[in-house]
Amino acid sequence: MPVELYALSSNFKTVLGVLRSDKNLLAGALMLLVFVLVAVFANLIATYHPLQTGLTRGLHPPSRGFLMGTDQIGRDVFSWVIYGTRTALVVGVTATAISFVIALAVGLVSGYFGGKADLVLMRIVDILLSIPQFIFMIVMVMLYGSTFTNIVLIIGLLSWPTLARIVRAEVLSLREREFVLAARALGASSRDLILKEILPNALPPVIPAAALTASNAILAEAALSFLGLGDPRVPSWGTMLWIARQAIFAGGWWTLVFPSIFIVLVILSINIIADGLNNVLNPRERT
Amino acid sequence: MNDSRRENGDPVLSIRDLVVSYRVGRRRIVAVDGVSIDVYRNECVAIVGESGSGKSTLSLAIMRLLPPSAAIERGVVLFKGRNLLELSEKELQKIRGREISMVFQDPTSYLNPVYKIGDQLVETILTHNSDMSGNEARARAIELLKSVGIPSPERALTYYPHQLSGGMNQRVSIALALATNPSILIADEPTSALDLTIQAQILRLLKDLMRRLSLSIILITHDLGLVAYLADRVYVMYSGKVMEEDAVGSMFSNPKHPYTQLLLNSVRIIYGLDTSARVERTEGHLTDTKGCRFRHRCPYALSRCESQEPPLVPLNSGKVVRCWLYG
Repeated sequence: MPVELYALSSNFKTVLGVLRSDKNLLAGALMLLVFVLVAVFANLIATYHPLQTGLTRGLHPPSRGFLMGTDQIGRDVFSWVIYGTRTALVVGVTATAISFVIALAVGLVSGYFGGKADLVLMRIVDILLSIPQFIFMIVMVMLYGSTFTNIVLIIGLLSWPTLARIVRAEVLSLREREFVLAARALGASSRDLILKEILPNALPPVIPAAALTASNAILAEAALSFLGLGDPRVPSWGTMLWIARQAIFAGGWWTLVFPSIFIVLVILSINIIADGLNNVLNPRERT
Repeated sequence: MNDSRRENGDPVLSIRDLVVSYRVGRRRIVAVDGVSIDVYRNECVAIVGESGSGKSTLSLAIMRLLPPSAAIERGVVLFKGRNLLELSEKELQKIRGREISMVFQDPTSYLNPVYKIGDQLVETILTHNSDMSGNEARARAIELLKSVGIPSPERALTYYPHQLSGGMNQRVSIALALATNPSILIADEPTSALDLTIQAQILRLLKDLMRRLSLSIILITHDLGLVAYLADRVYVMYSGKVMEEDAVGSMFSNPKHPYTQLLLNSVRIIYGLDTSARVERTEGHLTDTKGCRFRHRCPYALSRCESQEPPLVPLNSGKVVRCWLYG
């Protein structure tokens, strides 16, 4: 029973209670909070404009002036990585929001109404899942151009199938539950049944999965940028790694190490949160 | 007692020749077979029968809440001059909860776990009274909880179902069902999931509500104690058919149909009033279409019972029996 879910949604005090109930969740949330603060105050923290080049200071090693050194064309790696946090979180949140909404819509319709709608929607899911996702993304970005908006949209529009399956599975079992029948007996419409009776009960297993979608989205954007498909006007960790590919041979290890550390830490914190949320929201699955 | 119907004019709800079947694989299993039932105003009608007699299917069919595997093949459910079986889903939604409501067996699983009691009540009230304000709905919710005997209604509004006991949740379910002053309440085993003392409280509540709100109750149960306490008239169902219909008093004092006699006997055996007898085992005979359905278990079975199904025969004093012994 999703006893903790409404605790999550009800108010801030209980959110703290839920966080405290699971140590991993709290640790992950604190880590992520640091990154959120970095992203929000990136303009205050960064010492340079991330895109500002300086040909006289190319591949400067870490020093007091350039905390994490500079790349070949003199861009400050520290400032780049700080602004990159903002990029990564925007990608994570936006792409997840897009796929979450699509997944809910598809899963609810498919699971509740069944029949032909279910058949068609689930075959679309099957098809999307049978195409290697990352390659599909590469092709789409190449087709539609490497603008930041395109990248976020493409990642969001391609990440929903797994989530939709989870939602559908939940709805299939919730649909048969007694309280749904009781609500029907009290005159609830299909719309009420789906949105008010079934949806809130379907969320607990979906929320941790959505958190994982966020970390996957961040990785996908970094990977696209690493392949040179990133938006050059937007500082992204992946783009810095793309630059590091050459810098590393000139001894510029810092261009590789610092963005990598940030990627690992953000992904780690989100995954810990997903795991913690799963423990709290779905206590029966605890191992 | 028997005149609870005549006093109250025309029936509020009239079921005529209702046939409901389930599809199980390729087989068609008829769960309700030509049942006709009348419910009058301010009357409690009990539908009694063992598991598989079709009583729950009947209760779900009245408001068309049956699962997709079930089909209503034939019949009429007449309520306020309208055949509920012919209404659209939209029209039905206006009748469900507002005119005819339902209370189920296990109250805790019939309440949505993610909403507070208050939110569920307010939601239901607003569904049927779109012109009501939030505060009015809340006031009505408190009033409802008070009327079903919940001690501190204001506090109860803030609880989730899992924080309340089964008995309290059943009171909440009843409050939900009565939120919009329905004229008929269908209660499907309303006390089976509760312990004995709570059962008694809920029964008293139902009886009291019936009187105060001039409510009609359709009581679906296998518990004859419940029937004796609450019901005015009884329909005994067996294998999808009505076997006997009578006022509650004469049903208990003078059961006619062998199955009714067996039911009443089994209660005596269970409560130790008759230690010499054994409770009859049930055996399924779902596929029978010919003859009396009860003949395999009937101590008085005649050769005629094998080949011909007995019709419902009215005896004197309003009793109706389906048995060749009285044909």
